[in-house]
Amino acid sequence: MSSIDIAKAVKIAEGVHWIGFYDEKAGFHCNPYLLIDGDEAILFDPGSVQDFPCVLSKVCQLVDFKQITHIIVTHQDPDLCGAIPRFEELIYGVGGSCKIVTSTRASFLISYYGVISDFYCVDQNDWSLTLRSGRELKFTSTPFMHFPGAFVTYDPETKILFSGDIFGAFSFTWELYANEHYIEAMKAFLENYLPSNKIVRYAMAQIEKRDIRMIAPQHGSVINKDIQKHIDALKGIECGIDLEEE
Amino acid sequence: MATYKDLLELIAKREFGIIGERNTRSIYSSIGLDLNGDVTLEKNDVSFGDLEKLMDVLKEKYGMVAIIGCKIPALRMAKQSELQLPDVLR
Repeated sequence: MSSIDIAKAVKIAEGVHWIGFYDEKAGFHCNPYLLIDGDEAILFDPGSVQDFPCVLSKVCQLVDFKQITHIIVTHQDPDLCGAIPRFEELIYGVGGSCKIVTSTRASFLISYYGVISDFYCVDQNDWSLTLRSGRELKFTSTPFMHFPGAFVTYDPETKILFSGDIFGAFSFTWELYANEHYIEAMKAFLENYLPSNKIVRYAMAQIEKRDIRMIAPQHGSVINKDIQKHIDALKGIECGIDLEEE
Repeated sequence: MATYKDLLELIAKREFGIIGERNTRSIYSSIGLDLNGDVTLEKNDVSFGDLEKLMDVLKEKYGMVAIIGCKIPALRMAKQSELQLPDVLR
């Protein structure tokens, strides 16, 4: 493990912080992120109920709850969304409010967590979100990766791709930044959750249109070098129905 | 045609990513299989029994994540070369 203090929020780019939880006994880790833009804060895939205390402590190090105006969630799974109602309690409890940014398809399912915020559906808003400062976040549809309405978020200012489950990994020897064995760790996870190589290649073709400096997945490690190598590795992945068709 | 040696080397490479290089080498050594620097096995006569032992130790120490993570490439190689797999990998 490097000298990075993962007990605290870790700045991975200007205004962007990793606020995840490293469970040394688990092979699967949660990586929420917080983007701070002026007086506004955006929470990405806030995580599970189990991870909430750790994630919360890191959010508290960085912003007041009132500053959180948007929670971006790539799909409805509990490891990403379980903590949303708890964050809402804190945000609304101090007089704030926020929107849940997701796809229309995911919004139907996320409502079952008992969320109280309005949805901002990316597919009904020209696949972009403009912050108060004028900064724009861009969304890209990555259908069936692994949810039909899945998408990724690109921040043109930092050139970070917030990728949700895509580029995530299984790892018991987790490090914040991807190491030389990360492609194997990534395949270990994604081969089990993605539906077919054809679908992966479509998503990678969309993703590589962006000028990406860093990939920030919700599981696994942050990829801060050899971006194209990791994209190419996923293009070659065989998963889901591919094996049945052999 | 791939052999059990090929299969265990394939799994080793994958486990470098999942449980880490040091832990993978340690687990292989614990079942009498030493890995070279290039992730090949020193021993040539590797059997289905070795694969079973490896899966048992991986499951015991790391649970099903370590097994599921290598399942797809193992299944593929086993299918192509008609190698038997332990139940946990099927």
